Amino acid sequence: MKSLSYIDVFTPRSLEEALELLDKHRGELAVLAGGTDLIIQLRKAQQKAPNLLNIYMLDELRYIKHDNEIIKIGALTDFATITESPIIQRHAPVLAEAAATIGSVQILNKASIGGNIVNASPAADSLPALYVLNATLTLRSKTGTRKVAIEQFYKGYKKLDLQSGELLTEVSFPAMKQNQIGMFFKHGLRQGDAISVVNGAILLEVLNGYVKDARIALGAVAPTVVRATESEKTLIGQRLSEDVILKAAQACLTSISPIDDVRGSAAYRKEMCVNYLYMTLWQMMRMVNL
Amino acid sequence: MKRVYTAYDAVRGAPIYTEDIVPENALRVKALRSEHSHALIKRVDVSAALEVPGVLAVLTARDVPGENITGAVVLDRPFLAYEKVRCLADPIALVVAVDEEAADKAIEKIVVDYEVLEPVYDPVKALEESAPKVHENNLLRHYKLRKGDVTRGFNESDIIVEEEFRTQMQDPAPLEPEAAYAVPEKDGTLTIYGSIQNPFYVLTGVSRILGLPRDKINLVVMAIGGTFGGKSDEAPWDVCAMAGLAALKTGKPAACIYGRDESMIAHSHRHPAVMRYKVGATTDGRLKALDADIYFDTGAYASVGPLVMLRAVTHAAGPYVVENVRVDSYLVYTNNLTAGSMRGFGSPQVHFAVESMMDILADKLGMDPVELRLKNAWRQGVVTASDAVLMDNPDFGVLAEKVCEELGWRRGEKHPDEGVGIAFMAHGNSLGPEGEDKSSATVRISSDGTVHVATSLTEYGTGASRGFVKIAASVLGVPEDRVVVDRVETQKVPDSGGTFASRSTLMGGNAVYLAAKRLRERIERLIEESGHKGLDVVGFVRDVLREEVSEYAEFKLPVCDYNPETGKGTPYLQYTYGVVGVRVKVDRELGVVRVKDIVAAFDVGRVVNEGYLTAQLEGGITQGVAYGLLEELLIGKKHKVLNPNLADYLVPTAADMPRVKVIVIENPSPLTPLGTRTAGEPGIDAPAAAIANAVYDALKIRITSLPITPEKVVAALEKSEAIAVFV
Repeated sequence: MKSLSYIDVFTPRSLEEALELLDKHRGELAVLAGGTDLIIQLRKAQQKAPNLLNIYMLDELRYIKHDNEIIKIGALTDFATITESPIIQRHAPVLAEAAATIGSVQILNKASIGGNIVNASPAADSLPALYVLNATLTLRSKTGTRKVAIEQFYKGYKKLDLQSGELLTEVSFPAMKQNQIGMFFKHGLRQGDAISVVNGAILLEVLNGYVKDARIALGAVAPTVVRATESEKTLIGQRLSEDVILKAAQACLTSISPIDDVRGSAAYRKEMCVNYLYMTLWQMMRMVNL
Repeated sequence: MKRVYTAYDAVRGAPIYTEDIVPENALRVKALRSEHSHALIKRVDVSAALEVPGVLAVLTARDVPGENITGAVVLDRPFLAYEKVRCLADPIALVVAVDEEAADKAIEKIVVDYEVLEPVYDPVKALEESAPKVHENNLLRHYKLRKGDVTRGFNESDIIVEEEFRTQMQDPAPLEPEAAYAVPEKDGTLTIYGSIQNPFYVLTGVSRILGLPRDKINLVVMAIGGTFGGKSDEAPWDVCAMAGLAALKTGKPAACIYGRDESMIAHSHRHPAVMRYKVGATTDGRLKALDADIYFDTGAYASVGPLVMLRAVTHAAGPYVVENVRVDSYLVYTNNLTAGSMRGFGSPQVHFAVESMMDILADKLGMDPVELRLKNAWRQGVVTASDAVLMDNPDFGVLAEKVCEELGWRRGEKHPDEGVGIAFMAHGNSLGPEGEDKSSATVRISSDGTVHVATSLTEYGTGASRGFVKIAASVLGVPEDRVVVDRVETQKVPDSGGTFASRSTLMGGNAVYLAAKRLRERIERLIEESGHKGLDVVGFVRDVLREEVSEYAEFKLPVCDYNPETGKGTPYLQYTYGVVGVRVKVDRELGVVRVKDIVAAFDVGRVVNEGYLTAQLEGGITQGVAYGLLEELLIGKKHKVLNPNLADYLVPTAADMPRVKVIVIENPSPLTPLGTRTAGEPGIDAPAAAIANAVYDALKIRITSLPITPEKVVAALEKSEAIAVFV
């Protein structure tokens, strides 16, 4: 364990002050939100830990709004709130489902959606859901505001399109439509409080029994969360059948590049990915064809 | 006199643990541990660490005032490593600082030059001539079981089955990591408060390391937040000696408290095992021969490995009558983390092998696995695998019947991908071949009429101290709330042996029983002599005698005559017997094994405290399910421990456990006064094998290595399907 005693912690009282501090100490501060990932990483880090900007007090970044068919979530909103939110349950159930699986009650109460996004773990459970919801991230700095599509935000393993001086303040996405259904899946090695071996989310838009649009995102099988574009193509324009969903599930292999690690081998991850996609699509097929 | 902490103290969050009483201004001690599994230490430079503000001392092997050597059974481990490191847990230097932060910083500044040596990690390879030498000889012990002639046995067998089994390193993972707080007293003595399972063993070790006579040290046992074996061996010696050494060197109170990762690396683990079995039987299911080679990896140091090996080898043929037996077991040094005590103590490994073999055999014979087992199961008077007559009185028929009925054994329609599995178990009580087993207790009635029970047996959640209260209260005829169990301090309580081997209620309980009985008889004589007939025992002491009366008693079990060199003799006088049945559902696609139902029947002799008893059995079963499905300390390609944390080391959550139905049978042992059998460990022995057997029943795949991970299941299914296609 590394000593963290030399770290300075800045605790701003407002978003403006936070952006001011980020600007003043460009590139020198790590942002502390719920701390459920960051503190552990700092304790284990090989290099010297940076000073911290503690934004946990900034209640202005805690909200869930339904605004003109757009859902907006403040970056500090914790996962317990997201899971229980009627707005999320109604307009983005796939995210409510994903958020509930992130960890134990203690973690759900402390960890924030912004932290999950910026920590950029390929196994982060909220990310596949945000990918299929076509989420947009709002990044603020002292000088302005920038919006980035979540898929553009990740440039590689833990490489982000985030400038020094910028702070993630909001996640937004269109509310799901009547003819859209979404499902999240997660494979962990035990039944409770597990870190994902493979996870993913599927969102289908169905018109007259045909798939009009399909979005599939997979986690823990590549350096970043990835869209399974070949699988999506296989589904679009088709009626869901066992044959179609099997082809779609197998097509995901072209999009993923898993590695061996403490939770499973690459081969096992590939197999789980195909199997889970098939199983989830099968359930969705039943819902659609009912 | 302080009493032992209760469950009530624990649930209301009372400050009863060692860390709770460490004042903020106490010094902190931290250890620098080895970077390599096997290396020579060329140089240790602590000068930069000493410059760190807040650092009072940096101590290395040279600063150890007593003997820099420890070992529960074999003195093979330096307290602080010098010349050579043999595993990643080896401490090389200690930093004493004003707080944890300063200590952490100083640790980073210590420079160690290593000359890396080739390591060896596999216990079978470590026995090869050319293998790197961890110690002078990598073979630490070779123990045997011998009965009849196995060659003849196999010749007379109609069916012979063979298999190799491998089991993992399991971590005991108690909630509270190891901790000690040492206070130098004005009279030159040292008081050490700690999370200490076996205080008198720790006293021996600490006194040797610190070069202080035993009477200059008082070890005070604080509440213990679980152990499961992790605090049974040398980890508490280390924290007590580390804190004690710092207190001696500085003259100030000092605390040594392990972090989670340090705890998971430094304390004792379950021995990983490689077990090669061959069993022969007649077509009607009589066991003719059992032949096995068993390798236990004890890691870099012996710890209590030799005792674990004794228990493993003497349980290696299961609770069955086999005409001819040859078992050779090898305890081997490697550069892995040290294995030693862990709940079950060598027994879960061999149970996994034997109980898997019984199902493999039953399958070959086309026989019901329960029927095959009952046909060969122990009964009073049979000759066991160590060629000795069993004096105890097991009744597996009753246990199996209860479990089969409750589980619905192979009745009705089988659901797809569901399976049932069963395993028998027998767990030798007390120390048996591990040493002479003697316990002692003092029971006294103070002048205010309170009954005190004093032993050195510690309470770590098993409820043993509640059992003592019940036993003393019933013998003396007083309400339980008049009886207190005194806090364990080595200066104040008698040495009752260690709180291990599930022996508290069996050994300590009988000693308490004898002491209380003696006390009652003595006071009753006094009552009669003084003409106060009609007064009760406590009332007489309080109102008439008005002074403390105390009695001491010892309880001893006869020494068992099993000889590990010849492989013959009685290893244990009595056992706890059990049958565990499980129903699983396996997800073919994901490889996930879900345990749907567990039914377990145990013969516990006599129930002393039913609530705690079933809690112990359920807890053992839960840890046994985890051994079967989840828990494994993983070693990476560079041989670092990958998961010394509770995020990736998978202890079971409530969601992983089904309903557990425990059935308790009271069939008193004919061999001890109370007739009780032990209950702390037996629950852990059989679940892994029962699960493996159920997985076979569900999918016809045989998993021979633990834990049964989804990945192994998927791989085995693929292989079996490939074979099916090929055929």
